[in-house]
Amino acid sequence: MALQRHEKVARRKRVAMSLLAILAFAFVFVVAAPLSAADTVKAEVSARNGMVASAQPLASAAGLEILMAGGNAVDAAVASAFALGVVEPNATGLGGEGMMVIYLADKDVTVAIDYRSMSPLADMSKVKFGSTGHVAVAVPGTVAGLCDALQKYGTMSLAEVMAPAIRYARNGFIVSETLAQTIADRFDPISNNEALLKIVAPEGLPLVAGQIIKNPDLAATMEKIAEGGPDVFYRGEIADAIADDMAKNGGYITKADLAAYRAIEREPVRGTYRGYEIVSAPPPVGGISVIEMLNMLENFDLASEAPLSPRNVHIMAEVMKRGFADNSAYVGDPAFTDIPVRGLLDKEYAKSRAAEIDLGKMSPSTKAGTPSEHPSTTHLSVVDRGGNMVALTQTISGFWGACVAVPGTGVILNNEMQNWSSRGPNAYAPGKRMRTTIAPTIIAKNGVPFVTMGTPGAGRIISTMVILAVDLLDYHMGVQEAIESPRFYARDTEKDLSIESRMPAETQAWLKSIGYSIKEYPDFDLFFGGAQAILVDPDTGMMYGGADPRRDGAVFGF
Amino acid sequence: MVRKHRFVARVLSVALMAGIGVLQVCAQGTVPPSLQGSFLQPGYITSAGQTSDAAIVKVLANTRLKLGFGYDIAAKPQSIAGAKTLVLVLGASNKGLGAAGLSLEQDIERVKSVIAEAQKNGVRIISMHTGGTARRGEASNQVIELCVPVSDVVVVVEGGNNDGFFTDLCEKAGVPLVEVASISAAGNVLKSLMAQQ
Repeated sequence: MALQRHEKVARRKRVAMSLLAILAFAFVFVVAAPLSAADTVKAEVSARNGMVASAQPLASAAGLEILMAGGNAVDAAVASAFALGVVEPNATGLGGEGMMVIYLADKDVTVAIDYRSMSPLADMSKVKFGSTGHVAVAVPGTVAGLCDALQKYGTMSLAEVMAPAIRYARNGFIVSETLAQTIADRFDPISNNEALLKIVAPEGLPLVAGQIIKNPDLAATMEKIAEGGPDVFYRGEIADAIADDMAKNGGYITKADLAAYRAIEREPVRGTYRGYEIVSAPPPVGGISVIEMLNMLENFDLASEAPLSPRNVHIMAEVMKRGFADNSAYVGDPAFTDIPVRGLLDKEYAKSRAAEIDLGKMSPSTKAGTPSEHPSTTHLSVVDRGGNMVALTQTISGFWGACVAVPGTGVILNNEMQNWSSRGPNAYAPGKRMRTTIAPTIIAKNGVPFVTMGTPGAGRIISTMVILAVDLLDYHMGVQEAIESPRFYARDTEKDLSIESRMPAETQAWLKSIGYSIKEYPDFDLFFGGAQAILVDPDTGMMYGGADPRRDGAVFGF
Repeated sequence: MVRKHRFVARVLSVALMAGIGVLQVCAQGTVPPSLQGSFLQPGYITSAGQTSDAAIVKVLANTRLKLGFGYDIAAKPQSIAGAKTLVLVLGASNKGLGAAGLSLEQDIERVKSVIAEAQKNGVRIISMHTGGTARRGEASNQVIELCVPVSDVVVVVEGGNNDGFFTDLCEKAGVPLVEVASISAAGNVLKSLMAQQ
């Protein structure tokens, strides 16, 4: 017993030492210096040769390890994404899905890889989709998406880029306050699933901050994928385990569903904002709405007033409501619905929507517009020394997804089936990909990409992306300052304007006076997501990275 | 003379009450002997404020301690029929309230009705706060202020009482307060409070 305890303590010390080594490493290779004079909670990080910004320090370290070993931005992004699935298991993982936007400097092209989950092929039209349990799970896309990206655009082997993630899963890592809180918050549904309970409550009670979390089953699963490729997950023994667990627990996913899954390479959506080019993730996700909202905002001179002036917040809230209304009315899986992409991205359409906004009054209700019918949740950003960029957003939908882990595999499954709408372009259909708001985005100036950014945050993703773009492009804030700037969120379907409490009191008072109902959140609240971004100075090539204090975000570079 | 005696008696009783109040705050993790084994089965767990900490207490009570308590995070008065001990797990959670489709005000009304039912039937109440500083704040304080004065004992995990909020409330209401270092230690307290079967 005493020996076991001694070994446990020694192991914990080794993990703690590893973390310290990583931090020391970061200090040696990274110049942490604020770009602007703004006071920020976290320092903006600068580097010259490569940078990774992700939602968790160990995931950023995984990407940096790959960049320093000579990998490109895609190699590093895939390594960080697999690592995030281990160290941020509440938000992403092999049982989830995502979308990434990749800029390839040597070819000067930008592509999007859609690895959104899809509904099983069985008819589930009579099924009530809850937020937990096996029925809530959609066919996962993460493994297919990351493997496709690596195979097409990476330079390293799957085994090489998965090595850090496998190491973290096997050796364990320290539970942060954020992770501990998500376990406590979801412990009721988690406690109904033995396999998940084994991961987050190995001794019966939920792990708390400071304890070590390990997932050796996931390490073994990833080793099999690293050796055998994605077929292990979609056709081999992991597929068997998923299908078996589904069959035993009333789920619908079969081996045929897994075998039929494909990641899809899509053309990104593109727009402009005040002379900058915006390249973002296409339907069925939210990039189109980010661009539409920016198009509307282009009709107002935001920079003539302070960022959180009453007028500017009102304009942006009204724009958000219109953009969300159009998103609900028109965006869905392009394989199942005709999306008026060009109409939604049309500057004239945006102008007409902007003209609806009364600068002295809140709109009591907002409906979708009529665009002309021309034929359209964790984030990481990576930049390498060759100028390649990746913006990647992944999710298992809600924290801890369906609160279901597949026994023996360590894989935690998503709850994407809750994202269907009762009608419209996002209504359920077998084999269809559900709409979500994720919007990994790259911004270019004169054809040269210089920003990669994104955020998790469910419905707040699109609004946060718009705020980030405005802060960077209208107000020229540094990336860390932009990420930390107070957030707010308005939507056509919600009665309240949600704000972080740091919004100026006079702005809040004026907004109330013109009809807003304000819902106040703490100073930095993860309700508004956890953005990561990297900005490359086009003149000097210097990279500046920011990570969100609302979660455990970290930037490493060299 | 009689008046003087009454005055002295009042002063003494106030001093005695204050003394008892101070004594109510027990040494860390220590259950007063008078309370040990004094809570009867069957027990029933619910939240006050829809905190998911209630689920953790359920696992603690039923999986670890095998107490076999009933559980409903949003229990109604009829849920506790037959129970002899009610465990209220304190803490307001926006996520929990949203998932239950309740506002804080509605949940407070629910808790009031459950407490009234418990008091009507002589059910004794254990209030537990296990969420630390994360489960404090204006909304959580409302449910804490509601539940502590009607409790027979209050158990708080370290961090939740950093500001002495529970100490003050328990002293004012004359309710014993047991502070513990961890949720696991709260389980030992719960076990000690329950009568042996």
